[in-house]
Amino acid sequence: MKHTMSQGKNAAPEGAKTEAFQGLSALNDADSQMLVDLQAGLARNREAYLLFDTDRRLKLASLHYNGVAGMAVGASAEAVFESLMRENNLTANDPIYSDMKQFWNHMDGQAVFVQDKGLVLRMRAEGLPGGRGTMLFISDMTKARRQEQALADKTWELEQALIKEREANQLQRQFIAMVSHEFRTPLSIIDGNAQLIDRHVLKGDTEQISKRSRTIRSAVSRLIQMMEGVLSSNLLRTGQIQIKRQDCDLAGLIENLCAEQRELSPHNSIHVDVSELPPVLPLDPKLMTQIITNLLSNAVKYGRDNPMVHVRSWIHDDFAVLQVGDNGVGIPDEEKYKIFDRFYRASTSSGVTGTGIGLSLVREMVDLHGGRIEVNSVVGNGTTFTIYLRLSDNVGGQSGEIGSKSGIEH
Amino acid sequence: MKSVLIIEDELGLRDLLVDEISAAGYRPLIASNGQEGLDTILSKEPDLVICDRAMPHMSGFELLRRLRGTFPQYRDLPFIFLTALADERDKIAAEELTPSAYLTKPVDFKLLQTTISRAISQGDRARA
Repeated sequence: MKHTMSQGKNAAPEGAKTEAFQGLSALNDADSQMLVDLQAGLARNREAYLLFDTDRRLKLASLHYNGVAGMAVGASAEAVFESLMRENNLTANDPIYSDMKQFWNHMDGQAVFVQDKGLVLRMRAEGLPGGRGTMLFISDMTKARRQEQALADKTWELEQALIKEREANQLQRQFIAMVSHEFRTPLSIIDGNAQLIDRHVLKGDTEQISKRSRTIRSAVSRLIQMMEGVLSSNLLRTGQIQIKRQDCDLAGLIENLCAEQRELSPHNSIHVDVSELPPVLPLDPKLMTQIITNLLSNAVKYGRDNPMVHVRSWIHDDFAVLQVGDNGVGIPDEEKYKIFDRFYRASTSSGVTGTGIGLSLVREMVDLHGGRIEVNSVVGNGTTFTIYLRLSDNVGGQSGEIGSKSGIEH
Repeated sequence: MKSVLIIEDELGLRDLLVDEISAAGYRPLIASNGQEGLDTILSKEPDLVICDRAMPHMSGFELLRRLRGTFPQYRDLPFIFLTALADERDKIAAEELTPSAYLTKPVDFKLLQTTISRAISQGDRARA
């Protein structure tokens, strides 16, 4: 019966009296009926029982063991044990077999036996008054234990979900604070210059006016870049941006973006080498623009007072390789694995404006290209990012075809 | 001529403020972080400080905290925060250091001028 307590629910089966009460024929019918009822009632218990006399011979077995071979009245405790083991598919090789055997030999106290496969048996021995024998109570707790485990698993899952929720809330707060702070700086440059232009218009100072409008335009492009970063980051997270490979003039794209960057920050020197690139490559120009813009603006931002930026791109096997290096503040070793996390900013970035979104975007966009990103950095000496962009979708499982469902046009 | 120290790490903004301060008839002094700002206060003794909060090396908050704690002789030095930290909680935290004013970016230059002249005359009265 594999000791399933549910059998107890079947009440007293036919022939119970003869099986369970062998040797009790001296009882009169009324007493005997009462015992049958008692047995039937006790069989509804989850706990089965075995009653042994002083000679360790079975006197009475609960109906849970009805029909179990070897559970005959008069059988030795050892025979009953073997029969119980057979019923539960336990062999002498089983680690809990010998533990149970030991318990059986002493029939004292209580013990719980847990088998690897999940079977859990609890045994409790109670001496009868006057030393007239021992009663063993046996419970199959497998199901209860399983439920307990399931409950614990569920609790753990809920706790994890709660932690995630809290982290998400925390990120959300951080995000709002960041957006508020980071957007205000270029906005105040725009606003301040506009206020000054007003004054210069009165004075007719055209040189100042044109200088101020250039500053405004540069602040606006900074705002736009931040806004695009925030938007892309959210779209990427909801899977709404997919790669759309087409003929991409990577060399031209890099040249143009570097030229734009030079205009924004004239005091930087940006060196470009894209001579090894073929005219067109199967890449997503929109994603590439964001990748390059982010890496470039980082290189300039963290380049301290005399930023020297090197941009190089070439083909290696089935990859387009893009390398952007600076001579800036660098990233401490222990933070290198975190810089691609959303909102994370390296300790060396303190005081430099930024959202902590750029590199997380870059990584996700490189992922969409089925590529990878490497960072080499020495604090105080500079940082070099190298990205490898796969030039076809058929390797590595990154397909541009999946998810055209998004409806987002690039 | 009264001098005004501008502590601001954002170059574009600092240039604007220098322009604005000069146009208003003050002598501008500049520093690009809290540490430089503190050094300049001690060496040049400006008549007023306009200070950003989020800056490298030493934040504006930390600068004023040190000024209040270590240099009580600058108790009456007018000190204006001009910051992008516009959150009410940021403001309340800063108010404990009793700055003369807490202005958030972007700032209206007329408001900035009024705030500066009021803070300077308050500083003058306190020292008198």
